[in-house]
Amino acid sequence: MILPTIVLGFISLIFCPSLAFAQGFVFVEQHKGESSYVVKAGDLKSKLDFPFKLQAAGIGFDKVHQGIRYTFKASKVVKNLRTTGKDYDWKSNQLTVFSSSNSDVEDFFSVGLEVAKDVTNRSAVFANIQYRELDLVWSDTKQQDFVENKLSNLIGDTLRYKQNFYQLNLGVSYQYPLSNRVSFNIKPSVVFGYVKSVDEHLRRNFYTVQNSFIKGYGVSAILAKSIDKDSILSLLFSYENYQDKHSKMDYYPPFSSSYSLPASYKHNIQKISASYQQQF
Amino acid sequence: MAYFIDFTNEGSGVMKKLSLSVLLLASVALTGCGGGGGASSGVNFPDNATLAEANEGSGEKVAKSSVSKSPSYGLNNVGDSSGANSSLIAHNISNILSESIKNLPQSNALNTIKDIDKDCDIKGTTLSSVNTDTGAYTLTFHDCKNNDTLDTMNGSMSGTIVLNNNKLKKFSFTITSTLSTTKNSVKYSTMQIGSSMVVEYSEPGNNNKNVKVTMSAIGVENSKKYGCKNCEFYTKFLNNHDIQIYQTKGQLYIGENLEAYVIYNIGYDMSTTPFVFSNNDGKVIDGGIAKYITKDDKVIEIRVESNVVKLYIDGTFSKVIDL
Repeated sequence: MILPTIVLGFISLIFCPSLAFAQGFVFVEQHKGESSYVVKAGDLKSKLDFPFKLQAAGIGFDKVHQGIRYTFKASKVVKNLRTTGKDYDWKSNQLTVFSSSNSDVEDFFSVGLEVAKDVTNRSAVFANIQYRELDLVWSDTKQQDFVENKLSNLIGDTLRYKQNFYQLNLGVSYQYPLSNRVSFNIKPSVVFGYVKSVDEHLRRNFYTVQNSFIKGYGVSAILAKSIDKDSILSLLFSYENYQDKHSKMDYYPPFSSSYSLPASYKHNIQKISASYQQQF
Repeated sequence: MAYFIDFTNEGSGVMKKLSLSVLLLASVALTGCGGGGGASSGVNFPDNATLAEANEGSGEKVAKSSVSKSPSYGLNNVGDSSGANSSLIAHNISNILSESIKNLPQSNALNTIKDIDKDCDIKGTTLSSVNTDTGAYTLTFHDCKNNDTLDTMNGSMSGTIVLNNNKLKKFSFTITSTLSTTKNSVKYSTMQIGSSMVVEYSEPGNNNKNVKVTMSAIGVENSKKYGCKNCEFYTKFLNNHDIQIYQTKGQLYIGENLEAYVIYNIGYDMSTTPFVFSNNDGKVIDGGIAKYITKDDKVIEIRVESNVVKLYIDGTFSKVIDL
């Protein structure tokens, strides 16, 4: 429901006659981060690390209306940068199985709307709602079984990890002018949200679903330079870190009924972005 | 004397004795014909299943269905090549259930039906009824944990018990509501409705001596389907608690949807080369050999040599099987 709401809000922003002179921008960004989960069952424990690295391109619109700034952004992956996914399995705190796999971004899509209101000349409060999809696929897994003392090479796709993020950032924004044309903006925020992640073990015929209600923090730093009166070039660095320490993981084995195990979830992401903004 | 055929104290007349005679005659006839006295198929094996081809693919599936063990030390690991081993399932299920069967009342009271809602050792309940006259029983598990090796058990069954000097001589059951067991909460094992087993002790109450298990069952273990029709296994615990199993007859179904089967080669006496599974890690120990008939009477042979599982087709070495 969040995605259609954002899109409808955006459309109303664009087409409302009173909202002329919006600023449009295009941006490219690089994401680097990692999702991970831990799941336990008796004396068994597993931890899976899902790193990802990608380059995305996007568009956005920015408009101030009745003292409130609306910023809409959407982006999609244009290039995957391969990383290495890792899977640890323990029994009674002894590492029993470890594997590493090629981890590729199969799809990434993000759409978000930020609403900000100035508090002073240099500060504002903002709320940012965002929906993201991140689909990863693991392949060519090298698995070391320390109990059997056996190394297995699993060729082809071995695991898919799909995540849907529904995220709300609430924060403040401080702006420091560095010169007439250059400004520096820092935006700390707290993060709340819901992440649904599906881990499909292709070689073991089961999948898991984890519903995580996440809490954490984020910080963005933006360096903006006015090129002329209608255009701005900006560089952004952001970092977010959040987790759900007590989520459940639902198991769906084939031919059998599902069951739940205690689990936890973590996610961090750092983003570097370059943006060109033009008033129209 | 098995109490379930001890009708004589009842003195209920000619009809009952006649019924008893017919029952006994039918029982003897069934046993003589290899019907197994209750393990005949009430479960639907795939109609379109065909006799497997004698090739490496079939051989690998047969090995995974006969000598693999579900590893119990990985939770969400990526790869897991093991299969669902029907013989170990027969062994495990018969052992697990024998614990509950032994808890049924073993009095000689006649014509009584007792309902027992017994707490399981650690958690959950069993709901049982037993007719101590006939030995007929029903048993329902609800999140029942019986011992340290098993997490929970759910499902229902009905069958009969035969005692000898108040010790369990034989029991049979048919699954009436899917039986499921979990180990460490995750290693699911299920047995479908209609599946049946007959468990018979060579020495009553002692599973360290040969236990004959006749099984016709379909289910899932280790996320893989298994199926064994009219299979007959002999299992026992060795002194060091390793598990020894050999097969004497039956159809072993293989494939993701049990689309093919092999027939145990009754011409080969596996009692001289049983599979032995280590109590420590479940690995099959050196020395076991089993032979199965495939299409065109070709023989798939699974051999364990130096702890390595090898496939032979018609007596010729084919490949090492990675379980």
